[in-house]
Amino acid sequence: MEAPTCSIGFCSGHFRRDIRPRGPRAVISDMWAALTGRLGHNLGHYNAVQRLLYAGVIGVICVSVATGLSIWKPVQLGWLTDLFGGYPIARFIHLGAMICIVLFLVVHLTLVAIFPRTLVAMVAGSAAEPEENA
Amino acid sequence: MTRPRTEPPRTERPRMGRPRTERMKPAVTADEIRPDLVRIGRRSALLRGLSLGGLALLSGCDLSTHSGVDAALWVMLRFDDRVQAALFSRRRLARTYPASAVTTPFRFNAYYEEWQVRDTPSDWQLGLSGLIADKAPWTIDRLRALPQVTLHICIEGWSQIGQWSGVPLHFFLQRIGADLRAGYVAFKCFDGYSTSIDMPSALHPQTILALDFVDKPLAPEWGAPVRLRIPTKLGFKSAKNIQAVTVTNTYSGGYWEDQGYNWFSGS
Repeated sequence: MEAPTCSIGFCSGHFRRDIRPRGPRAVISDMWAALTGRLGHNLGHYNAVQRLLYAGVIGVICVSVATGLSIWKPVQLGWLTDLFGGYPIARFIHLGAMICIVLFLVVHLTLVAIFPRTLVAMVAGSAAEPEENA
Repeated sequence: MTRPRTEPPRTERPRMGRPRTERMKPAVTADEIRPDLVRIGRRSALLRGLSLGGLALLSGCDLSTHSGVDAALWVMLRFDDRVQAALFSRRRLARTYPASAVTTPFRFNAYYEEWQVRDTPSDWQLGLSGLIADKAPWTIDRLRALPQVTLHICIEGWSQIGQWSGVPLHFFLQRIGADLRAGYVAFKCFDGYSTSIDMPSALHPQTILALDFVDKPLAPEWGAPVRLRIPTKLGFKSAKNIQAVTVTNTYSGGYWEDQGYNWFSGS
């Protein structure tokens, strides 16, 4: 499921337009706005923190798959294991990637629980505020 | 029997939180999602239905044995075996280490405790059966007379490096006239263990019938008198205390494999 979803994301420009991170200054200012409760929330529009996290978790998933392959087949895919600095290090990176994904999920699900309306947009894939379309 | 009625005075109950009517309000109202629902095209709904199909499969997981789920998992395991067989190359070698890297003390591992280790039976011989031209059993002295190699190798995931010396299995199989086009080489052990490997892995240059561990004949806990040492597979495939070797085209499974361990378990 992951691969077709990702390729659709790349081809449609969804990643370039909506997820490409916007630099550290925007992240800090949006993070501060979020923590002080002054950050607005528009469906389909990702703020700088969201962009960083979504781009980050996609990268982490790629690392997780690559390290997973390298500790699954350290002989047949030895070049991949060497790329990560050997079996024990690849195993630690794999564990770290798993922890990062779990932490992302905790933040992600907590925010969905706070803004349940976003769940509809996630399942249906529509990307605009209902009010804007009226 | 009558009890004095002590009805709690309703009006004096403290009201916690928001009024009840407000609390019952749904998180998402129909009006809020109506424009979203209208916007879902038929095509995108179908596309997303695919992932719902995946979820529906998961809901069938009751994880009980002898169920349809169990059968599906076995099909996946056999598929996994085929993928691993396709990835396997006899030319790619497991990493080797200098003799100074050998781990001491070496970790014991078996499906039983260390005190249950069995000594070699006095009348021990290596039995041969299946697609083999010369099925005469082998004594330990005859095995030791064959040319040997020494490997300093790691068991995957253990970070323990051992030094194993013995007869390369491909040499032994050729010597006894085994059919090298057969599918499997199966091992039966006198400690009740068994396993089987694919022929390409059996012919890998680093797959040996080990006779020595760190320059000494194998002690019972390391698999005396002869054990398999196959560094291109997980540790449990390296059967100890071997009693019989069978070359066959019939899938033979093994002690752990029959309980759901992945059969190929290559690395």
